[in-house]
Formats: sequence, structure tokens, C-alpha cells
Amino acid sequence: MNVPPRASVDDAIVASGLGKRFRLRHERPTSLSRQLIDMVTRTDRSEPFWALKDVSFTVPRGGALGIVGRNGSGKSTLLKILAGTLAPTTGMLEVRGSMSTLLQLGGGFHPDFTGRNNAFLSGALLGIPEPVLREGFDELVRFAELEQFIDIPTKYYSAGMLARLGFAVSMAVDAEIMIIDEVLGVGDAAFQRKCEARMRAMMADGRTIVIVSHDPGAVKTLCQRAVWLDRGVIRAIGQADEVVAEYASAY
Amino acid sequence: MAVATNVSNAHAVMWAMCPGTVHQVKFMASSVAVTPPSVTFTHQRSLWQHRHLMVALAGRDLRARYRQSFLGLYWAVLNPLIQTVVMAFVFVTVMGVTSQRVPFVVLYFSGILYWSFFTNAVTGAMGSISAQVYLLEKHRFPIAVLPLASILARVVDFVLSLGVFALLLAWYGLPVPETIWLWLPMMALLLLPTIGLGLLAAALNTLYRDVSQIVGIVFTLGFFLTPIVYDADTVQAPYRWWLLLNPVAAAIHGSRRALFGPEPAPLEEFVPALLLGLAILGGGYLIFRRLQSTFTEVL
Repeated sequence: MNVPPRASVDDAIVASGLGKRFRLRHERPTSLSRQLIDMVTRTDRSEPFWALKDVSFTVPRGGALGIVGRNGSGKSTLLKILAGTLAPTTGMLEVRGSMSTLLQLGGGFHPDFTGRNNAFLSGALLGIPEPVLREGFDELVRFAELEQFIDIPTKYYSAGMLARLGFAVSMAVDAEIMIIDEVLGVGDAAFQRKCEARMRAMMADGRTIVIVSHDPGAVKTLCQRAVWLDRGVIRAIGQADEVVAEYASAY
Repeated sequence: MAVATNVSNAHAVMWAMCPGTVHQVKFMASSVAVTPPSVTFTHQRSLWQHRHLMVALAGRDLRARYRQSFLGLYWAVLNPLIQTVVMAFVFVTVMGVTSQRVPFVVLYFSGILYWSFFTNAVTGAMGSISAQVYLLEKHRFPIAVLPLASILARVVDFVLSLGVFALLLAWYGLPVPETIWLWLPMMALLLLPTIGLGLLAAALNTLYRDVSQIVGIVFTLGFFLTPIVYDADTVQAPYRWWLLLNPVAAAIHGSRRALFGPEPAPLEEFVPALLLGLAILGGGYLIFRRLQSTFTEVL
């Protein structure tokens, strides 16, 4: 049981007792008649699985929180709940401020459309007004290092190119809170340094950042605080370097 | 007696000893008190604030559909045209059907115009969410934008086929009366069930794959229960009231009377269809809202 967070007005994110239950359907009734039969006979074919249990933390305005954990520990589930694309089963979440998200690197683009078209659609989804995006678009393309390729369909992009485009669009949003999933694992060293510099600048600007990473080093250098998730529960929470050290020594 | 106790004890021990059986997990999980979640985002943007997104998605829908196809945008126009030719052959040449006010081809085209829009829009909206899960997983936005954008794209198709209809009228030398403005309220009437059923079908289709089958059957029957190959004015009471309860039928009837005369249909003929259309729109929207939080989980 972790200590319930003391929420204050200076917090950008307040999460308390968040839990997510998935129903593992071994045999999913996808037809209506099957569903009706199951309903009448009161057959529950699902098996509950708690991907996240009693997760509580707060992120102060301008703070940076890192989330570490192994595959299947619930990191992405937590991030999706914070981003609002997944509803929690239980618990309380408050996100105070405008938000930009970068979930699932390279996802979210339609392969048949050009990088430009996809960037504008992602921008619209993230809430960047079109004139603003148009104005800053050259800069965005330069940052993503895609000058030559912006007008070709994204199906011809490499994983690194997709990641760079996604990151550049998310960073173009003038949001108070950034939720970023596993960006630092992709792209070459030079691009990673650029991303880190950009994120630092945003933090210096008073923006709040939550990042998930497999890479403990990145969490340690970017975040003040960290959460270690293990099989859906918080195993450790506190100073980033301490949590990361504990996590690293456990495996 | 003693034996019986032993047996039940042994059973209890066995039960406790096998950890992690499905039954135990089930029992434990369901005994956890689950309080309903409360999620607050202070910066929630409305459907209206996403209108540019809707337009962008509709443009994309049109481009994706017509890209890499030989005839491109002409398909929107060719489809009703081909259907009209076949229908004219069957009904006029083979069966010898005669229509009173206007040639059969014009009558049929004025009906299939609306019907095609309705069926294509509902079908498109139905698949719009499952086809774009990659957006749902990544961004938080009002999901209704997806089916609405798909319907908007079909409105563009509809406008294109209106152009063909205008050419058809010119070909037969039919005048266009002033009452043509009544097409706008008729189009609005048609949009009510289109959006309502589009949202409903989109939501249910994420849960049950047989929704598309049901929709297919409804469309096949609906084709004959809607005045497309015949004129609503030839239908007598008491069936006429039931026929015009259908908002699609009422919209076709109203626009034909506005265009071909003798005079625009009386307003009270549209009240039942309008009420039903509003009910479908409201119901479809409410069910969509109710189900939308489960979309990312089931898809």
C-alpha cells in the first residue's frame, strides 16, 4: 500500500488508487446470439486480470516523472490512462492543464499518406491550430531531419524516421503537460541528444513531463522523481536516481 | 459420519493447496471492492472544437478511396448511373412500367440519389472506427469525429451525384422550379437518421461483427420499403402513413414533389418522419456515448 498523495493546487497530475482490470476472454463471444445465450445462462467466459492496481502519485507543475519497469509491468497501461485513451476501472485521476501525448512510437500514421499529411492530421488530433502548425512546419521538418522525405508516403519511412516525425509533432504542441512513451530507445545517438535537449528546454519552461522508458539512464538524467512498476503495482517511488538504482539492481 | 467429515476435509485441503486455479482468481478478484473511477481532464475539447479535424479526416477518406483507383472520383457518379440504367431496363423495357409525371429514369435517379447516400454513409460510418483504431490508441479526442467525418465525405459524393442529376434533368428538358430550395430541408431530414444510425452502427460494430450482416438485410428490405422504384403518391392509405414515417422515404417524397410537382407536399406529412429522425439521432448518439470508453479495449 503506498501512501495516498497529498494533492495541492500546484500539482499538474494527481492519481489516486488507479486500477485497471482487463477481461481476458479465452473464447470471446463475438456474435450477438452467442452473447445472448451467455447472458441468459449467466456464463462469464472472461477472466479478470488487473494490469494496474492501486497506483497513486502526484506530479507537481514543472516536474518530471519517469516510469520504469519490465515488459508487462503496466507502464503503457498507466500512460494510456494518463493520456486519456484508456479509462481506468477504479481510482481517481485529475490532469490539470493542456496535454500533448506521444504514445506508441511510429503508430498513428496512415501508411498511404505523406509525412506532411500525417503530421497535419496528428497536429489536429493534438489540438494544434492549423495556422500555427503551418507557420512552424519548416522548423518541425528540420527538427525531424526529414526535409527530403516529408512529401512521400510514410509506408516508405524507416522506424527511425517515423519516430522522429512523431516526436517532432508532439513537441510542436504548446502544451503544459507532455506524456511520452519510450522515445529515447529509437533514433540515433545524435537525435536522442536533440530530444533530451528539447525536453530539458520544455522543463525549464515550466512544463510537466511524464516519460516511460526501458532505459534507466535516460530516466535518471531527465527526471527528478521516478516510479518503478512491477506487475501492476508500485514497487518503489521516490528520487529518480534511487528508484532507478533499485530497479537496476533487482535484475 | 466420520468418513464423510474426512472426505470433506480432504477436499478442503486439496482446494487450498492448488494455488492460482481459475476459480480462486475469479473469486478473489470479484471480491475486491471496485469504486467507480473518476477522471478529470481540465482541458477537454469539444466535438465542435474538432471540426477542422473532421474536415481533414473527410478529405483523407475521399482521397484514400479514390487514390489508386482507375476512375477516381467518377465512381461517386458512375455508381448511381449504372444502377439507373439497369433498373430502367428491367422496369421500363422488360416490365413495361410507365410513370406519370416524369420519365422513369428521372424518377428512379431522384430516389437512388438519396438512398445511395443513406446506405453508403451508414456503411462507411460503421467501419470508420475499427479502420482507424491506430488513431484511437494514440490520441484522446471525441471518437464521434470518425463516423461523422466518414459521413461528411459521403455528403461530398452526394453533391457530385447532384451534378449528374442536373445533367439528367437538362437532357430530358425538365424545368427546375423555384421550390427546389426545399431540397435543403429534405437533405437535413435525411441527415438525422443517417447520423443517428451511423453512430449506432459504428458503436455496435466494434462489439459485434454481425452488425454488418444485420445492416445488410435492413438495407435490402429498406430498398423496397422506400419509394425509390415507385412514387410515394401512388401508395394509398393506410400504408401511406407508414411509408412516410420512414425519414428516408419522406425526404425522397418531399424532394420529388418539390421538383416534379404538382405542388410541394404538405408540411404535416413530414412530422412523423421528423420526430422519428430526431429520436434515431438522439438514441444513436446516447448509445455511442455510452459505449465509447470500451472501444480501445475491445478493438
